[in-house]
Amino acid sequence: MVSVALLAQQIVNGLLFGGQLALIAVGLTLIWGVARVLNFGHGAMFMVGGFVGFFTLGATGSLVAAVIAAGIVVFALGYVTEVVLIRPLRDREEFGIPSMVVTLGLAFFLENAFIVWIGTQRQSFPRFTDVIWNVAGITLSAQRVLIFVISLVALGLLFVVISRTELGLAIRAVSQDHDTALLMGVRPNRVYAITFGISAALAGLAGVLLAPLFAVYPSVGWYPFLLSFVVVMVGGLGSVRGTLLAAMGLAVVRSISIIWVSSQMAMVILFAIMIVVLVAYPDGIGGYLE
Amino acid sequence: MNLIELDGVDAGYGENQVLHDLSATIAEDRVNCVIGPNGSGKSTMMKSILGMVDVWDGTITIRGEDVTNDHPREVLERGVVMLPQGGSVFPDMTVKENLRMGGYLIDDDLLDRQYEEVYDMFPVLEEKRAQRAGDLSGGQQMMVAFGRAMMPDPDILLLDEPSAGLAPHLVDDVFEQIAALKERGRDMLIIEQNVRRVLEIAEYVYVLDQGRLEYEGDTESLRNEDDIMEMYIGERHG
Repeated sequence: MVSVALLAQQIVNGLLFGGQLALIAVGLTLIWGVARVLNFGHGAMFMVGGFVGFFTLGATGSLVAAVIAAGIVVFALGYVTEVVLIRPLRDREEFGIPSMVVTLGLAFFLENAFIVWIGTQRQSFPRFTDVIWNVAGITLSAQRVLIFVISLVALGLLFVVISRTELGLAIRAVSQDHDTALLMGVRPNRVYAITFGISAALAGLAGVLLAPLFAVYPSVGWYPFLLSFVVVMVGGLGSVRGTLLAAMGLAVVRSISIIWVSSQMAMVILFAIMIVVLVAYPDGIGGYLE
Repeated sequence: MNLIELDGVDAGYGENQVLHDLSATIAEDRVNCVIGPNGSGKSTMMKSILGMVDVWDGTITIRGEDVTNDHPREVLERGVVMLPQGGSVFPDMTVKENLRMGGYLIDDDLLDRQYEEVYDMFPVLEEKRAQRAGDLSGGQQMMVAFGRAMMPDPDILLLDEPSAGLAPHLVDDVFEQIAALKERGRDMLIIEQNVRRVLEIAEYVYVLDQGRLEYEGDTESLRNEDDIMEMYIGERHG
């Protein structure tokens, strides 16, 4: 029997996790929406972000420095990935499958490079804070709230960049009509690289923010990648609104499933939801929200 | 000075050569049109000027400066602007954002003046500036496309089949728009299937066939070229 209090607790936990999931999933949907790449290396960006944060923290002792370094290094990694691995494929007739395979290859390459370099053991990451709040019978860990707030701020910043800046205008132009954007004087190649960098930086930021919960190890990115994959499929690839909604909804379903069914079954339920949604709405729910 | 000059241009896509040793000179202060059958290379000629198709051989200059295979941005900066087929407004942007895209390369202090200029030409666009362009009627979207192309105040406007695929009443609107631009002294290079209509406006004609220039001259002189008129325009003089 599940009590109302426990249900409320799990819904709150789910929403907090949803914010973090959204941070990863929005990057995945963004790079699809702009550059039509389904980035299977997105989880690896998460993993690299965790490691950069881990090493920066070790060297400086500063969590803020760790977060900033993760964002910057992973942005650069995403930018270079686009220029070196994705751009050469773009002129080919077939782009979707090769770009997917290349990013999958990158994910395995990075994972194994870190295994060779550091090994498979989990590096534990210190908690940001141990404070626990109790609000109306619901336990709130200050750390999870902090991670949630940082995720929302990052997503808010992304929204401002895309809707209010010249860069955002160029990103939207390229995503809507590459050739016409070219005719306006936009350099689409630069826009693709920057967008890839932003998308990767969001994953890298999530990697360091979630490091206290997930720890840091070479294959750590696959679980968040799979979750965000389900999220963008349900939300609709390319739809930011659908992705945000799906992240919140699925995270709540996940946290309720964990107590009601079992934590092993949670993933099964999420994939079942994804399959049902895709059968009913092949393009996800995003198109119905616009 | 000549505005645009193509000299011995070979161009195409992949292995497929479309333009063969094409030379043409586009002088200032006139409205030009390019006509010819489907697949004659009209669009490719325009795209080669813009740097949107690979030029294999030959040169393209704007006011004497070589722009062969330059990025479209460099061509745009030299005052050559293209209005793509069907207008191609950005559907998910507002009207004003579309105009902003047209002025993507111009200085911020010039922007406001250019918005005014465009709103002066199309008052309805000012009214609808905050609306999503994709929600406008076909005619209004065409105005957005024309307005967007006028934002950088181009020296010459390249129009790629402006009437293609439009409902008949919109075709009239488009030709009225082109006539209005001519009235304001705007240089243009127009590709058009609707030959009869475009010849009412254009002062100079290039006839392309299989990627080669078959004829060029004043619209008036063309009307005396019986062979050309019959073969490409389907009319015989007198």
